[in-house]
Amino acid sequence: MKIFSLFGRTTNLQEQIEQIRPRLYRLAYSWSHNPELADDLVQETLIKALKNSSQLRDPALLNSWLFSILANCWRDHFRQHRDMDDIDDIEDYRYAHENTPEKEHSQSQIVSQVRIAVGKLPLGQRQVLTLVDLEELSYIEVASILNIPIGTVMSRLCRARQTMKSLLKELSPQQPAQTVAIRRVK
Amino acid sequence: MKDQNISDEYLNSFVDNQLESAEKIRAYEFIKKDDTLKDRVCELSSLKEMMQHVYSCPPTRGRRSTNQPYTWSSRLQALAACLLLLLGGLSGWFSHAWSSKENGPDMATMIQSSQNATPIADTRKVIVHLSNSNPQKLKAALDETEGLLDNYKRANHQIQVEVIANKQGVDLLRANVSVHEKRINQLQQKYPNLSFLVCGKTIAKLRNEGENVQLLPHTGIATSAADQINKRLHQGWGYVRI
Repeated sequence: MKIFSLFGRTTNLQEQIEQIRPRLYRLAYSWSHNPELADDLVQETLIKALKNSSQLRDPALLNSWLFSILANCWRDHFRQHRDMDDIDDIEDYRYAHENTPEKEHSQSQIVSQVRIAVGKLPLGQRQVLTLVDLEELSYIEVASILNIPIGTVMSRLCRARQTMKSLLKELSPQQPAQTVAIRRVK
Repeated sequence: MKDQNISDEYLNSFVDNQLESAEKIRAYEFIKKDDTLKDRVCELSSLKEMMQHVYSCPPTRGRRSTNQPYTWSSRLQALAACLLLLLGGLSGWFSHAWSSKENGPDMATMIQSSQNATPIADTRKVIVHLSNSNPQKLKAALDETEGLLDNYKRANHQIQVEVIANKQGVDLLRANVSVHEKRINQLQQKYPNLSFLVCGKTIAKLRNEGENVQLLPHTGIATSAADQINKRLHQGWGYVRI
């Protein structure tokens, strides 16, 4: 009987993980801006999650647990490529790719501009911003997922939004200067 | 408490719904009294909504570019796929009925490419605010609104958009004044989930000044733009200021 309940739990977990996969992909994509890498990260996350499913004590924490695995996979990716890429500090590294989705989605100005701005954020800030804005997680949950103090979550979020505001102002098309001369008529 | 004393962290916490109820009520009081604070909150809410919109349909895996290095995981997956193919062929040769589709999601289904992942389905509600009669802004308001509706329609997602105009922005929706009358009419016919509103206070002010204000067909009048925006933000709508 115990074996059957265990089997039922595993199947249920697999179904739940399947449901959350698009969200994991969206998050991975917002961090990497690279569909292939995002897909790889999601697959690694799912493999680790299924392999270590016994570690999940509380099913209510499944989402946070998966996001946490994804964040670790993302960190591992940089550790593995540290010798290939010139990355001294993950926090200050600004990720950019030649085949940016911005180019592929140039028809949509807002999408393009916001993604460019997000791509210019330091990784730590980008992770916090996307977890709060896309996944609508609480600051405490984000702190737990990224294993950082809540104060750091708040300061990174604040800096990320300030940078986003200024970058979006820079990126928005400049309006032609007003050439209307002001004349005083007496 | 004045605008200068309220930190960005505090406003972020307000926008992200991280304040406790008593503190949230206090924050509402501050914001209600201060126009600069209102603008800061609207700016943050708008940024949050934009983030959600921008990543609602991320592009899926395409062809890998030739100059992009393969990751180790991809190589391992390719090797694993070859081995699985070989094993599958052999096992299929010796036995016929070990697998069944009725077994629910299995490992292979779980680990398949996210290319076929279904997009995240959720209904978005956005209020677009226009307060300027600059021709570029008027056109931008319609362009952005149409872009938003079109993107969601193509992605088969639900969205409801409300355009509200106040101050000089009402020119967009005034008959015999708006240069976009035809386009607005077409948009209304194409998108039943789009509505246009003007600020009642602005209209009253114009009429008091002796102007004959006629609105385009199907244009609603809100009590005031500020009330309408505030109401929508309370209801969880996203805010975009043009």
